[in-house]
Amino acid sequence: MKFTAGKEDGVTLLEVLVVTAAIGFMVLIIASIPTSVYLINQSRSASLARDIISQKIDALRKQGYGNLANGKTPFTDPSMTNLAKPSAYYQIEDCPSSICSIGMKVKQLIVHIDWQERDSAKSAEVSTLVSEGGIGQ
Amino acid sequence: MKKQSGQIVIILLLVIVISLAIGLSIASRSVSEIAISTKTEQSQRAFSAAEGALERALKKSTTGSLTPGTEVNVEFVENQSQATAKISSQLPFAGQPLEYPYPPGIGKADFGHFWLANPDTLASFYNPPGRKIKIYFGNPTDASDFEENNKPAIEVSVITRLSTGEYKNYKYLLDPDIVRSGGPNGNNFKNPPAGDCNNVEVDISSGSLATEVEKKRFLCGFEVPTSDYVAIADAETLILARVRILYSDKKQRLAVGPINATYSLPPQTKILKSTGTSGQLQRKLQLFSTSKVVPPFLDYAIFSTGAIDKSQ
Repeated sequence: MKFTAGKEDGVTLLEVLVVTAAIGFMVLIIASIPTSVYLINQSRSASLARDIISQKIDALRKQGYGNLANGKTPFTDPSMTNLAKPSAYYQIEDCPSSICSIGMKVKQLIVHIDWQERDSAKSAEVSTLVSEGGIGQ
Repeated sequence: MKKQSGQIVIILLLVIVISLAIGLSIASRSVSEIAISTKTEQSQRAFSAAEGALERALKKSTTGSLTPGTEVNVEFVENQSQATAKISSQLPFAGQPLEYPYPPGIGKADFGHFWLANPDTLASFYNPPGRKIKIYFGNPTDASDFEENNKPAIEVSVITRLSTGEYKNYKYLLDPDIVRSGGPNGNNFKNPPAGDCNNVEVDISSGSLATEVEKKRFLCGFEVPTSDYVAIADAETLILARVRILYSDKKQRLAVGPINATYSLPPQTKILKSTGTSGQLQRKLQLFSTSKVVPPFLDYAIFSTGAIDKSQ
């Protein structure tokens, strides 16, 4: 009996492995791009929120101790339009007894901003103290 | 077996490498953005905590309940930040000059304010014979921040009180640049004594102890009033000196001191240092606090013994 070698159709195992690996890498990379972009936007929003807080603290400090009334006061800033559903407030209260002695003319200032990032709520808050005759007064 | 040839594997590998490079760069960008954002957040919290500690230390020091070297601690638990502030001694120390803090130094539009009398009572404190003070100013020529075309001149105002209770204002204008001061288009300022603008070194302490001196260097150091100006009579009480830097766009060093170590300027300034911490980050702040400073318009006001006639 005579055997003759004929034409063979098909794909080698190596080719399958290479293609699978290639598609896998592509899917991984393409899938991570939206997450990376989201994280970049998230950090930008957080930086913007902190800038707003920093400016608010400076402005309140310049007002002076005597002009700071205890309580929670909402505020807005033109830059807040770059945040989704922003809301901000500053809270002034007498310096807690854990930090200051009783009767000391020092107020605690807390500035807080909330905003939305996709479906999750984000916030940033900074606390500091302002005293009578203090910095910049 | 038939020989096979083709480039599909190489092309595929190329595509994989390029995609990986793009994807990794985007991923690393997001990682670095998050890292920077976190550090910035901690930095801001640390800074605000440091400011808070400074405020509390300032308050305690004005009520007299804070001794130099004692630490004031502040902690904001919910904000995950804390800070410690400390006050130096009252400066200047006996026999030493008082330096305007450098950095940042004093700029073109700023006045350095130096008390010569007790700032609380205006009682006589520094009154050497001849009623002279020593002025040190300018960045030395071998400092990295020296610029020949930013060599400063100075305007010194010395306020004195007569025995009658009246006050007098002496103004001295001095320029170490002979070319700028002389000639037909010169500013006609007086020049400092020869040899007094060749980089001067003086020991000054800004720490908690008088012995913690540092060698501070200035472009010029000399006594005012110089021989080109009328001397201040010994019957007058020195009250304060105001010094302004002219001609220089760069911040300059400045100090005022007694003519020698046997005399002293009144204690008038505190230096407060604060370190705020949040997470791994620290922010350090320094505050130069002079309790009483005259308003800046004093230097621009016109003083007259009688009414000023504005009709001419």
